Amino acid sequence: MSPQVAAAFAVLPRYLGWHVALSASALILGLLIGLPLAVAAVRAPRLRWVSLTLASLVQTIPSLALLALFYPLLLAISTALAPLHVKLPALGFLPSLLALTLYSILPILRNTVAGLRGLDPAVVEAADGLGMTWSQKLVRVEAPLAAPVAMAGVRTAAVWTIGAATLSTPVGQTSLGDYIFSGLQTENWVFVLFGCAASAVLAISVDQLLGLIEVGLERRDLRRVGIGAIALVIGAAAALLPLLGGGGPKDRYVVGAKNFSEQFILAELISDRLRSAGASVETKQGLGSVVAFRALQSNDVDVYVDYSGTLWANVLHRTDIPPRAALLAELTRELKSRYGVTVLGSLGFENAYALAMKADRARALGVTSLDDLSGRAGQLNLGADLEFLSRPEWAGLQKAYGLSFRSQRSYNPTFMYRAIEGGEADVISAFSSDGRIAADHLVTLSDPKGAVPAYDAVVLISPKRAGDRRLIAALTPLIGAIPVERMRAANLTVDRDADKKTPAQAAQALAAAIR
Amino acid sequence: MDAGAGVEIDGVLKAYGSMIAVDHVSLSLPQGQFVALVGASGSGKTTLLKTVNRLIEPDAGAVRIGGEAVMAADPATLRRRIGYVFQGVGLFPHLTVGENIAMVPSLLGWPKAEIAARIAELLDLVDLPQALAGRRPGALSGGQQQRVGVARALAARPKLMLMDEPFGALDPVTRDALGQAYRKLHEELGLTTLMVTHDVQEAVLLADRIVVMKAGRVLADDTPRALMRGHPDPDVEALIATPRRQAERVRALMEGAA
Repeated sequence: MSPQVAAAFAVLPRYLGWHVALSASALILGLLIGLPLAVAAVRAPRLRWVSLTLASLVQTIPSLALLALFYPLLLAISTALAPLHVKLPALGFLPSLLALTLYSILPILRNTVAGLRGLDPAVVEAADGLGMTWSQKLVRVEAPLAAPVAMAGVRTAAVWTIGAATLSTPVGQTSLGDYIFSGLQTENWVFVLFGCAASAVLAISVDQLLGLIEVGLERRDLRRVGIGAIALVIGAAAALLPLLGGGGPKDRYVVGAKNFSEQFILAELISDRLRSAGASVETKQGLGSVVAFRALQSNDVDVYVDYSGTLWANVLHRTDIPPRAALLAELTRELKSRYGVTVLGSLGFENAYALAMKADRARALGVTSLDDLSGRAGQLNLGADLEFLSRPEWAGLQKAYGLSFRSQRSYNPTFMYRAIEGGEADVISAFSSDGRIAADHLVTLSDPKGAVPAYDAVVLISPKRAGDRRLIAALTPLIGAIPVERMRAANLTVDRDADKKTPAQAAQALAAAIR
Repeated sequence: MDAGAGVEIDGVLKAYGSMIAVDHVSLSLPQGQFVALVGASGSGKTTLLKTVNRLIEPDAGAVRIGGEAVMAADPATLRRRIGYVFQGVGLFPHLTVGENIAMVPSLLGWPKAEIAARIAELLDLVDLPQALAGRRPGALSGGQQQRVGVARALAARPKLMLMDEPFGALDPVTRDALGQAYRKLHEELGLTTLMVTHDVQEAVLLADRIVVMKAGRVLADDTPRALMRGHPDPDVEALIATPRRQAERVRALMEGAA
């Protein structure tokens, strides 16, 4: 077995366990809401119209967006409830659960309503005429007769929920989606395929077992219903078992990571150090840039690495650009006083936004700086990562150099490098610590007007952990310890096509190199 | 409340918007009588029947069974004491024939052994083989299904039977056989029966008394014998004319053959 597949299997119990916990809870909640709502809706046409319309409306929201929307919503609710000392976690299980539950309601509701409304009127009249009460009619006649149709809706809901649960990774909930999102960022196709296959196998298995129950209900065959139900319960229990081990959430550190290789490696590096110090650690990977900081600020994440310039522009909303050291000093002060967030220090390297071109192309065009680029941009295509074009840094660059490209497109970082290699993009928004700059023969263009701030990689600690000696002691040795060459080399081992390493392997190599 | 006693329908009114389905109808059914309600579609006969077991609630007037107002009773309890058979039959397809027959006794919480004995007894009563008890209704012929429907209605020994076109969907031979069989049960069990039918011939052959309705009102209320002799109302006369002509033709044929 290849080391990549072995690495994938190693984390399967945890990913699968969370995936099952999440989708099963969402489905059960969906049933608890959808079934009574359907029963009520059958008797009240107005409620039926409103509930079906709302459920359909939810369905039109892309599932990733629905999951993402619960983050600010919960954050706002949490803020509103702060005086009551009620704190809702805005990241992780709760937003994922709520979004998936909403998602599962429509098929359950629609099929149950259809099943109940499709009953033979003569049978309903007989139930009334024989003297059944409302509940006797529901239990003895309507429920068993509508069950096969309702069950078909439950199957659809189960498959949707299991599929959409992979999208809970960006809001910080571990799931089988962790394979897909981290694999996509690090071009680890083994991980991407593994994640897809695992969630497909899970969805198909659950669908088949629910199908067995459906057929059992249709043929009034209790044996089938029983086998299906027991297999589902045993399967879920077996999948949940690995989650029971490990320390409680109280003494567990949550290490955050945004959605690119360097972040995965640094999160592993931090996790390893905390584990060596005897702590129990959980990672939340693939967080959006701003989501990561908000999560830290609200103590959903205890520690992660961000970049000084990013925080300066996106969190403090500053447009002035002081020198590197001054920026870091003021950032440290401001984050502490405004948000209670501790900047432990810089890791020792910068990961700046820089525009990069192929070296030979730059030479041919005579471009070495952004000043040189400004006259030529009209003939060139810009490839940017998913965030860059909406970030203030891009606005600053445009303003300082009057950059206006022939076209500009957003890519996931991995595909952005593919785009410049394939010639679809002439200029890309690269990261200065990216190992692929040297490996792909790219050059970064200098910023003579200083339009982009410094991007020192800094370790941030949540307000709750500000006085945590064990955490600070474990991470302080990393401060100033990682030169940019080491980081580039580590990033490249994960990003390159041949002899790829997992972020965990790269973190171990990096730890050994900087010791 | 003794459901074995007669039924008093007193000034019942039922309107749907501006359409008056039952227009202040009063009828009295003595215990043990077999009354047929006849009339064209939309005459209000089914609506009137359903006010007796509260499947339809009247806008005005009252229905009393054994002297007690049905509107004062709990609808479920009331219906369990009244047999109800209708054209759609409405057997529960997910239950066996036996379970269908046993529905009301099971709602009433009878002991299991008593229910089992009652199922066997009722299958005999409606001339069905015992082997059918374990089958699903879907496997039965139309006539067999309605026999099960009758058995189910009789299961908890009601004294009053409401029948809404009970044999309307059956072929003429089966229909006649079932009608005769039911009339026999009516006698043997001492039932009071109110049956809606649009088939005057069926009413003439089965009922003790025929009530003719049109546009929500009672046009005629008499014994079959009296009605067959003729009636002043042209609508009633038209309704009776067909079975009379058929009967005369049959008699002529029989006499001619003799």
